[in-house]
Amino acid sequence: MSTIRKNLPTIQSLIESTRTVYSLPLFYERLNETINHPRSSVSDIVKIIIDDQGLSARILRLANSPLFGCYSKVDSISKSVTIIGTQQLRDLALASSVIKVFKGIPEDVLSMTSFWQHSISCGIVARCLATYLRENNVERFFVSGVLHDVGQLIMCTTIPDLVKQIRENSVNNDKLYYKTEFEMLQFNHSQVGGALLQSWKIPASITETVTWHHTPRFAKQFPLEAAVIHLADIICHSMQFGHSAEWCVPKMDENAWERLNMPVSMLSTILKQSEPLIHETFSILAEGI
Amino acid sequence: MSNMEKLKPPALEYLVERVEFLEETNRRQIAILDMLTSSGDYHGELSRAKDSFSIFRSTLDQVGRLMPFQMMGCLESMDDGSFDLKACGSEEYAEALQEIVDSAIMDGSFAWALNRNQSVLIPLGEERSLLLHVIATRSRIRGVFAGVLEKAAAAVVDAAAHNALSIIFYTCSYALESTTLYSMLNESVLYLEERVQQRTRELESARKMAETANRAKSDFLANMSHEIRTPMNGVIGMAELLLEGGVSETQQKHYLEIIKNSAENLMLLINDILDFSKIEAGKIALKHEPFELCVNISNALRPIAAQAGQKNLELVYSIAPGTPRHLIGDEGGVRQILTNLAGNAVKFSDHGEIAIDVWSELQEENKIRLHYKVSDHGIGIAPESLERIFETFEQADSSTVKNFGGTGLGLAISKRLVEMMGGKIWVESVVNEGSVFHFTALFQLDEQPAFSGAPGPLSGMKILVIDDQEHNRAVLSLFLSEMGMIPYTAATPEEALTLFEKEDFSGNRILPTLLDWQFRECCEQASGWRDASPVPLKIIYLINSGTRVDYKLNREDKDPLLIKPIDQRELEKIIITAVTGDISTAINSCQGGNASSQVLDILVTDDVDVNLELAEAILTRFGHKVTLAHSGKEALDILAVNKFDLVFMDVQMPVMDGLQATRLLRIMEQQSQTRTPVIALTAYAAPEDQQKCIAAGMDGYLCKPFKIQEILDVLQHYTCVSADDSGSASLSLPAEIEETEKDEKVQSVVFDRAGLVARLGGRETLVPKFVKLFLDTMDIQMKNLENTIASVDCSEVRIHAHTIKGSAANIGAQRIFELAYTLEESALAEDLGEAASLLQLLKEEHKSFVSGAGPDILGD
Repeated sequence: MSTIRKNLPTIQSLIESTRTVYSLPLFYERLNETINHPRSSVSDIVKIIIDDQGLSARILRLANSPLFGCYSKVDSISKSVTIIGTQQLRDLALASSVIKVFKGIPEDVLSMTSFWQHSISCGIVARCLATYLRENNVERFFVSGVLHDVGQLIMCTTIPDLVKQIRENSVNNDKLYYKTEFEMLQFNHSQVGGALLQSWKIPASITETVTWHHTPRFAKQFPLEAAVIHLADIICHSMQFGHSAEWCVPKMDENAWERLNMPVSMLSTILKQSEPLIHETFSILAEGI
Repeated sequence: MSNMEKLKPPALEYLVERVEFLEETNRRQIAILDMLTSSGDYHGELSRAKDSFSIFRSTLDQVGRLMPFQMMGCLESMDDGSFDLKACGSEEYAEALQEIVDSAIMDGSFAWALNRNQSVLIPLGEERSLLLHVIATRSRIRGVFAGVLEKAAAAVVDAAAHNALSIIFYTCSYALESTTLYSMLNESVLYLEERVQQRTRELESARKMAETANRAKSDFLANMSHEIRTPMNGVIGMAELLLEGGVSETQQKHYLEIIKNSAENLMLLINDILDFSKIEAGKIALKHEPFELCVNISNALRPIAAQAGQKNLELVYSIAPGTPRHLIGDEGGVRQILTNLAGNAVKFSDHGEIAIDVWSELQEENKIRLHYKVSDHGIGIAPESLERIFETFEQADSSTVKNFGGTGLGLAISKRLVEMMGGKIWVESVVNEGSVFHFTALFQLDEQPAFSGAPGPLSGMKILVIDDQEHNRAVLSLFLSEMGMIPYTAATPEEALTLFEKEDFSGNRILPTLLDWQFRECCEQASGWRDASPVPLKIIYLINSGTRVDYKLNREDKDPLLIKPIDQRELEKIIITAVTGDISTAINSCQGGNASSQVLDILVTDDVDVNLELAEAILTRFGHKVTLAHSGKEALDILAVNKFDLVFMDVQMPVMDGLQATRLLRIMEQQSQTRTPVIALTAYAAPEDQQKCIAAGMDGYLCKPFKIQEILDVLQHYTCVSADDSGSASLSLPAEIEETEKDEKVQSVVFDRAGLVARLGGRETLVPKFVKLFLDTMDIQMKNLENTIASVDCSEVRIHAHTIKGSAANIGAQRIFELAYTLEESALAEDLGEAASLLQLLKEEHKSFVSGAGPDILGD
């Protein structure tokens, strides 16, 4: 037992080993600082974004997509900054660039297309839920949804054999994947993902949400956000909008549902609003994967 | 690249710049945090705010601390989906701001901003930007903030400030929601309070109404109970006494009379209650039949005439000249109302005249509205009772019931009848001075009256009317003129003398004269007044019903009597009789109902033996020949062989009912070309039953239980004997007959035993019983008379003398009768001296009667 334990990775070891491989693009830090700088202006932000041609193009495509349903054509980054909002733009930029970071994960461990399909769907459903809840800055829900299973990617890269074993065990024991993870490693992918985002200095509203998306009752600072992602994840699993390493529908936390204080009848409306957005948003963000 | 930077120590300038940036960011964020945490003022204002305007105003103040807006304002979301600019940073730019918002609404940016829960910046040309922020709770959008920023200010990305803005608007939206909910709550509370108050008031008034109605019902029940108990008490008590036996004949008769009177009172009561409940249940349908106004009124007054006469009240009526008198309507209803009103007037008055005035209020095509006025000089009604007396079960004062009796239903019935006739009823009254009842009713004019004033046999004849009552003179003149006669009127015989001088009566063979009974002395005097007339006068006396007529005086000059209130038809008949000299008919007309006048063959059909016996007893008593049948079939069998003058037919009978029997009879008669009058006897009094009877071929209708007088009326009516009015003037019918029979005796005897035997139907064995009864009564009556003469009470003396007179007439004690009569007259004249001497004579006569009737008493 102890020998096994010795060989077992820790969250920290996993993050350490990927820090150099998967680093947050530099622009994010600059963008974040600029946004928070009292003297910076829209044009400063524009300058940072247009440095990355691919990012600029994706942002413009997103701004004009049904996700925003903007009242007029957004033909410049500066316009997108004013009408979408700086923080919102920053979150969108984060979501759209992180996907590019995790390239080269072997398909036999995890299907990337299916993975991002699930993640982006979760982001969209979470965003819709937040819109219904009249939450301020719904893009952070979007980015949290997109990034919620990012821990799985790290594990697939660092410990692909273990991941396969966890998966087998989970299926054989008829147990949830994230619970099997915990049983075998004493931690699960959500904690790994949270740790990575923390190391990237991503705001706590996103980090904490990702960390506790399976157990939202532990989210102390942002319980509502965690609850929203928790539910969005379950919705996407049950609707089979893509797949993550989880092979069945995770258990729902009743408290999370109650926290939303939402009539059940709203679910169908939210699904109706979310589903048409998935394909286009996926094609913008996951281009070239 | 990042690895490279980490390796190299950063340049000093970079670090300085970095520190400055961090410090500045820190300060800015602390400032905003301070602003948010120290916004107690804002929250205080929100909690005090009573309406959306004050909430928007404090929100704008708070926003102004955060960002330098050129213009700003809050738009409120209205129920119809539009947005109104409710509050502005300054009114000066309200219009300009509105324009900017309008264009944002036009290009869709406004709608887009509604769905983004964050600041949305929209460029306005080169210089400015519009910042929109929705003000919404989770449940609904309450408004939108619109602010105009300079380009420079808008270009500064201040995320913390934008987040702070969102917080402010979020707070604002919940304040708005609270205010709305609070005012809704307030409204609901107010509404509820109002409802509660309203319900309380309604309940209170309903409770009062229920209590009033309940009290009225209780009072009514108490009255009814009293009214019913009194006669029931009489019936039961007397019946018990009779059953116990050992009662003298006199007492027996007395008890039976009490039973009869009590039962009649009960009958009246029950009729009233039935009438009323029928009206209440809407079961009474107004009849639509032609009638004559004067006949109607005199018929209405007839039932109460006797009572009025006893109280010395004059009943008079007048109809305004030109008032149409041939009408179509519910004659019975009007009669009932008039009888009720005039009956009340009689009940509640003890002096003066009771006058009925009628005039036309409105006449349109063939419709007419008549106004009736019934006035008296009675006790009057207190003002506070005027409204109530028309209500059910109400009398002006429940204590009046004890004094005057009555069910209190009369006026309620009248009111409902009047309303059914499209009129209204009201009363004016002064306590102790009298009351005036008014009512109006709608009628149709009868274009072809059955009785018309077409020139008759009396046309062109002059006639004299002497009556001190102007009302009476007026009515008589009207009637007489309509008959084509030329009336001359005088208030007194003395006044008539001047007429004799002034007017030329020579054209008349005789001058018919209607003379009020009170002036009869002028005629009794051998000379003077009567001789002053240029032509012989033919006197017709006008008497008040209830006045006892001295037939002896009447017999001497054979002047006919006409009883007031006057019926035009009777008047015509009596004048014709008078002027054509057919005196016997005239006497009959006023004293009719005489057993010897006409013997009728009458068939009575009823399945109940008691009814047959009763009818037989009554009819044979008046000398008619009676045949009995127990069913319609039996009646038809008898009718097939025998001819009858009149048939009384019960409607409900087994085997063959009265209606069917009558139908068959009429078919039978078609062959023999005859028609026997058939009168229905039934307990059902509804108009439709009456119609059924008429439809079956019956001629008349009599309600059970019937009274002797009603049967006599029918006999007279259907056998062409002129109406008998003296009968209705007295309840003591046998006395009347006695008087009539006595009329034919040449000399008065002490004891007309033969007459008594005849009246008893030849049963001599009954004579001692009756004589004993008489003597027993006499003993008491004589004592009473003596006492009252001693106590100098004229009216009491009169009453006792009257009673003795009646008893004496019944038994055939003619001398006692005559003396009692004279005594009554002297009491009326308040001559007690004469009364006292007459009393002595009466005592002697009493003694001689006792000895005269000795054998009968001993025989007992």
